[in-house]
Amino acid sequence: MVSENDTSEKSDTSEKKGRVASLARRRHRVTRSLLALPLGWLLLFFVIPVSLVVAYSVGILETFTKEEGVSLETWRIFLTGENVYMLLFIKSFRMALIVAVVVVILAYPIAYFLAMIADKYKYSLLLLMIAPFMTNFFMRVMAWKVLLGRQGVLNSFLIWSGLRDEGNPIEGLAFGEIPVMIVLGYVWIPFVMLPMFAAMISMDRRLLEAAADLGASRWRAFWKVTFPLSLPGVVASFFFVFIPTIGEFVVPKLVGGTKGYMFGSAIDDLFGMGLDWRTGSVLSLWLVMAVFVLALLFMRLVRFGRLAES
Amino acid sequence: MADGRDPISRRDFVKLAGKGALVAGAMPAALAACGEDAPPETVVVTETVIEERIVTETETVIEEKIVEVAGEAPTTTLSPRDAGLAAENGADLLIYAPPGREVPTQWPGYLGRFPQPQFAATAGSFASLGELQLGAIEPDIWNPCFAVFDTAVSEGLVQPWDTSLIPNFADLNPNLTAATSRDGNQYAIPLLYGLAIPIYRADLYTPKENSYSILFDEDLAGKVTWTDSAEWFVVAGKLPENNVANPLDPTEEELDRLVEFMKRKIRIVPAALYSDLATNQTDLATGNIVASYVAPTQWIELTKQGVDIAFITPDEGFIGFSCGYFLMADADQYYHAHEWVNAAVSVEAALTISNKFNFGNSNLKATAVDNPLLVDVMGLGDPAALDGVSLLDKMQNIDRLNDAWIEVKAAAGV
Repeated sequence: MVSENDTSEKSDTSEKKGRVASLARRRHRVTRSLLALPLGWLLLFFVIPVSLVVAYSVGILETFTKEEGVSLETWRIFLTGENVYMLLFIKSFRMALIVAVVVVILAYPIAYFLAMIADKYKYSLLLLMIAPFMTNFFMRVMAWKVLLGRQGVLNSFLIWSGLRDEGNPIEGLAFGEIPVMIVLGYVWIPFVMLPMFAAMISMDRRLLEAAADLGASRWRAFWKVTFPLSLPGVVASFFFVFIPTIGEFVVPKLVGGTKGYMFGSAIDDLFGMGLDWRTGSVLSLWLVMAVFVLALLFMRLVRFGRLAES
Repeated sequence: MADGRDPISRRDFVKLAGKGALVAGAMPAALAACGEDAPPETVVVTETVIEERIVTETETVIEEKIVEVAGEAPTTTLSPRDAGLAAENGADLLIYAPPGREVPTQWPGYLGRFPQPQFAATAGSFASLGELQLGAIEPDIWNPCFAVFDTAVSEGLVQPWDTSLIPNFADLNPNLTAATSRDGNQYAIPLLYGLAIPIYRADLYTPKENSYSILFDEDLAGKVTWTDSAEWFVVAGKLPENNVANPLDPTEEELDRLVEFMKRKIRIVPAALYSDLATNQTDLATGNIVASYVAPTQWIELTKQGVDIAFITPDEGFIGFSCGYFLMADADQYYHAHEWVNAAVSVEAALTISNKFNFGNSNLKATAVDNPLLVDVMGLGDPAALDGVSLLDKMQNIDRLNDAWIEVKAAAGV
């Protein structure tokens, strides 16, 4: 026979199970409703637009009636280098890489100074650093034209000081590949500094004290403690510059001239004046894929580096 | 009375005079409502005639007043134009045009008669073509330059204008109207035109020949500016050395040759394919740039500044461009669009275009411009002024040329 105690224990257990199940269900509902907004956002502003671009790239969607229907021909022409855009991509990749590396190298000491040395003045100095960026982007870029132009500040100074002859200024300073990289670097530095500053400021200082106590020099402590811990900030900063730079088209338009034309400029032109949405879509998707693969590679690398270190 | 008619009593006379005064007061309003001024007339007046007329007209006025008060529709039949205008809401007229076109001096006389239209600013003819094709904006009127003509018409984006609703159409330059019509339909109403001229600093350079080839002269490497446009294939196509039968519509083989030619030559352009007229003008004034390809407006401005600048009349013949108005295929404000465009190509509007912007205007009667150079150089008022000019309006398959142009630019950057 089943005793009364057994029965009440069983009912208690099933009640508990029921409560747990209902709690789990509720948690599921909450999780799903919390996820709905970001997922919906991603769907609406990433998945659907990218799908549309994919559809344009293979001719499922067409802008003009003259286009040739569904085919992978545009992809083939691009990937086999039959047109010039793959070379342009390589050039833009190189430029973006240079800009991102140089900017990160330049911004790192500033971030280090602000986070580790500036002490109570760090936020005031940070504000000072980003103050020029409260002015209009276009004006800041145009200011470089004034500085670097044929009759700009730099050339005027060189001629005034006798370092260059009158009527023989340095050419190609206001337009070309180098000015594009200079201006982009200038534009990105404060933004690049922030992730590194954030990584360093949140660092546990006791680790540095421990390193010092164990006899590490300041340099060794930096390499063994500060730098590895700031690496996520460095990687974030790198991508912060690299991704927009590789697709950049505004700065090349303003200071690029014919030599500073970039992959992003071609995309802009193909969608705008060229009305060739198919090629524009192929180039855009290629850019997304390239950046995505590169980001994955870097994340792996950083993770691998950390594992090796530990 | 001697003629046997009944004499009019003083009382009746006063009554009739009162009615007469009423009618006289009401007549101008009634006539104005019909859109006519009071007709001058000479009438032999007799008492009976006066009485009959006064009674009749008084009754008419009273009837009209009754109709007006009762809110009944007038029984008169409206013309299709008036009926169309009445059926539309003119305040919804949307004009997609370059910034500045919203200034009423460019469409005088419209605002007093119709509601204020709306304007949206275009960011260039080709970019706006793409936006229209995607339905990003749905204007009634679109104001591009007509290098997009072939594509806009072929894609069915636009519909023909009814020129009978545009009285000023008769005054427009026939070369421009012909270039913007197809199969007997007038798809665009031209507003302005310009010639694309090669100019040079006469004190710094002596051209070897009268040709567009000055713009490809490697002796001027680093000192030439071009525009950022596929029309450079037309410029290059005009050079005898490139041997292109119709520069406005090169064959595939011809275009391939032109692309190679342009890829070689774009390297002499120093820095910028200028899209900034002011900088280009400053560079020409200072001598940084020695030769350029411009609209006459820049030559006029530089001449005014006293810069020693000259232009070439190319042996190959000029390239020209024109801009104006398309009526969109799904325009809601059909009749208001016609009224507006009629105002926008009137003599007064055309003079504003020439005086303010130094462009040639399409209205042959608008010759009394402030700057006589415009008449001399642009041939304002001369219907034959554009004979022999390669109008970019006639460019075919512009999308193909644009693609090729972007590839040339990309090659210069690699």
